Amino acid sequence: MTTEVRSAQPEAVLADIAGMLRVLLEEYGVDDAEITMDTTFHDDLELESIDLVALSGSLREHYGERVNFAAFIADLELDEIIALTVGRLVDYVVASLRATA
Amino acid sequence: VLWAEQPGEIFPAELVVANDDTGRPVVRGVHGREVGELTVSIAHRGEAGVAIARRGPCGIDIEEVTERARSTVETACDVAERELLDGLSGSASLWFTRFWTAKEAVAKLLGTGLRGKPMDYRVIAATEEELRVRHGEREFAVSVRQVSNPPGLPERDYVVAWTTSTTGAQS
Repeated sequence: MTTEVRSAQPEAVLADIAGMLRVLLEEYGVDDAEITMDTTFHDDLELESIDLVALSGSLREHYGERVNFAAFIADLELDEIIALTVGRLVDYVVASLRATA
Repeated sequence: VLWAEQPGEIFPAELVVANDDTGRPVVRGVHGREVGELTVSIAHRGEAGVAIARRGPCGIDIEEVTERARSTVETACDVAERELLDGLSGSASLWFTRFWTAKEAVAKLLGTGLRGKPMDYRVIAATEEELRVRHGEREFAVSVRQVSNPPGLPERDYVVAWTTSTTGAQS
């Protein structure tokens, strides 16, 4: 139970997602990315839709079926996807984890 | 396209590139130049950029060839596609990049992007130069080629994919 509560904290989720993103970015030779709640996927990290798919896979491996990243993306307009921040994804993951805790 | 269709020079200043409300680039003529219905599709990745212009719908994509986690492949490709992928000889990461860019090129032709649903675009046949992609009732032929950064830039290999023909009912 303690683990559940801690893992649904924004700080913990941010650390998880930042770790997944660093693995992804290493493939492109980027190893010094600063990842905060305000970091944008598109402009700051230069990630493309293939990377969002990779992230979706990492999220599923980490959180199981509790976090539905595909549904999250499908609900966004194109300009929202372009402006998407790590923080917005963190909030979504936290909300999903709490809803299924 | 424009050079092929008419004699005489066309200058860059006669063409303006803007975006429509779904983010697609739109080219129009200015200073009296008429370009008619022209579809332009653009893509970039790393240090590379590609573009295609056509009379009628078209889409292009470029993606770097890198190792992808199995979970990425499983999110992007359904069981039948993965069987097709696994049966192809040669580099698995190269083949997956071909599949991915082909899906994306078709999604761009349709104007929607993949929107988190890459499995709606299914690769049903593949050679090293052409993939067939099905979306709903329609089928698309997509050409694929490998390109690399020139010396002096970070070493990267890419796949470029662009749509060449469409069959099936218009949706």
